[in-house]
Amino acid sequence: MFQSGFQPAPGNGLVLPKHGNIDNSVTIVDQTAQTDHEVPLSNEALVALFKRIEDGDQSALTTLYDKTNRLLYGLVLRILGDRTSAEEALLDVYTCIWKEPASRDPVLSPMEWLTTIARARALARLHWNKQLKRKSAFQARNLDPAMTVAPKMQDLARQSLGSLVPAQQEILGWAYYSGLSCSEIAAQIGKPVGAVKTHARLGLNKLSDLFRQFLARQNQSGDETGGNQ
Amino acid sequence: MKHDRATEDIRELAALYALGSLTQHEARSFEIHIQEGCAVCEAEIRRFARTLAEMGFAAEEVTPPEYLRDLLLARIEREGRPAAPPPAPAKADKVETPREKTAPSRTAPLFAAPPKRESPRIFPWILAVALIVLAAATFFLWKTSRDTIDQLQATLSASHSDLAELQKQIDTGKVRTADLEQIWVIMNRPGTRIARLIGQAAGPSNVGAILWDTGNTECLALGTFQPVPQGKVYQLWFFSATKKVSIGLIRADSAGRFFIKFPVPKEAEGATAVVVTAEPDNGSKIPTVPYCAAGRID
Repeated sequence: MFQSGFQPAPGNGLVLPKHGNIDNSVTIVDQTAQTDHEVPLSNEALVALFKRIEDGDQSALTTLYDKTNRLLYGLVLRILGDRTSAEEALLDVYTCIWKEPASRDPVLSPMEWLTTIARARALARLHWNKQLKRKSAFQARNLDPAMTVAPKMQDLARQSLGSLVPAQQEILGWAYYSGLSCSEIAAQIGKPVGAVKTHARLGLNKLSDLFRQFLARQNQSGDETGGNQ
Repeated sequence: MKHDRATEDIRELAALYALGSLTQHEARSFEIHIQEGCAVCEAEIRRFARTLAEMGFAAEEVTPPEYLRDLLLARIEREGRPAAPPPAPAKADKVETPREKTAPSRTAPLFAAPPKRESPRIFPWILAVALIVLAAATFFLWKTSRDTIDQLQATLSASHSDLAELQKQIDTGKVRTADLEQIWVIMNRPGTRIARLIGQAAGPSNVGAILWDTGNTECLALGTFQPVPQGKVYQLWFFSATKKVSIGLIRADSAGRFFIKFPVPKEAEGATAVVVTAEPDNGSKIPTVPYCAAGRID
């Protein structure tokens, strides 16, 4: 069985709906008051860093690395499951940014683009290395007090994932962290391909709705601590 | 065919495309559909691609090793400065139209989403596989050629052996033909007399004949005798009523066969019988008994 990584970190004050509850309500606990967290860079600051990287400023790249490496390393480590491959994938991500900073998709926020690149690089390396089995056995537990994205965004992502029904969590977990095709996922979990497709669509659709609702509320409230959106 | 609204089927296809869970064929078909200008499907893909990007925020943060930062710096030093940036986009948050997607730098994130089609550093592996296949094919050809050469060599060797055997048989045949010619010639002479050798007490299985050409005072001895005792030799004698004349020593081959022509001395005239005895190696002046073979001269 796939080891779901969607469970929130203990002690972060999140209120999760029970499994099977498809209610879209998600309670977000504001953690910005925690002073021991490193303040994440704003969108504007990240865009400015990318501009400097485009101009060949190495210090901008190292700043970007320092501010974002923990989330991306955690993500690629979650996908790849071994530290050596994760380190290589992380280097790939930042080398790609250095070589092609202008390839950034402006529709995505800088952090969204970074997680997209990191997942693609890690999955490419995963498929290349055929390390699926090793990956499944890994569980990251090296939590870091610093934050790469705003706590609200992180909480939103974790809570939203936690609000999905177990089948959706499982299938999206396989697809997101393993990059398997529908038929491969179906074979892994012993469900029909049609059911896998339906759960993937419903799960992703619900996540999208939750994220958009959150952002809409954030925009309405004019909350300045809203994170990287 | 462009869509005018997002159906559940479209959403499912877009969701699976963004996840990278379509097969290569399905993904390629969907990309072609997007490139044909279906804004509805493109918007669905972008929506799900963004959702997936946000899913990444749920990852637990883990601090990578310190040395990784130094490795990154060393790598970008080695890679050099990035290439010159393309012209800046007119509007940062604009969703691209299909026609605008021809600029690769701006379409890469969208169509790079399905990770299965990414094949990093695949060319060296293709090259390595090609070299391995080439090496295997070369080895196979070499082995096949070697086997063929070995077979040909074996065949050639066998042929040489057959040829040698055949040559030996031809030589033997030639010798026998020459012997028969001599026999024919002698038997057709008017003064030829013949004695048939019959085995005696010292050599009961001995057989042979003596063809005596009285006109040319020579005779031909032929036959097959059993092996002579160690240190002995067969000796041919012509007997008459008053004389026992030695004609010569008979030295047979390993099979006991002999075909020897002897001159016949004048004192042998009037001989009526032939006798073969076993004598000391250099022969004897007087025949010893028992006889090995004997016969009457007709």
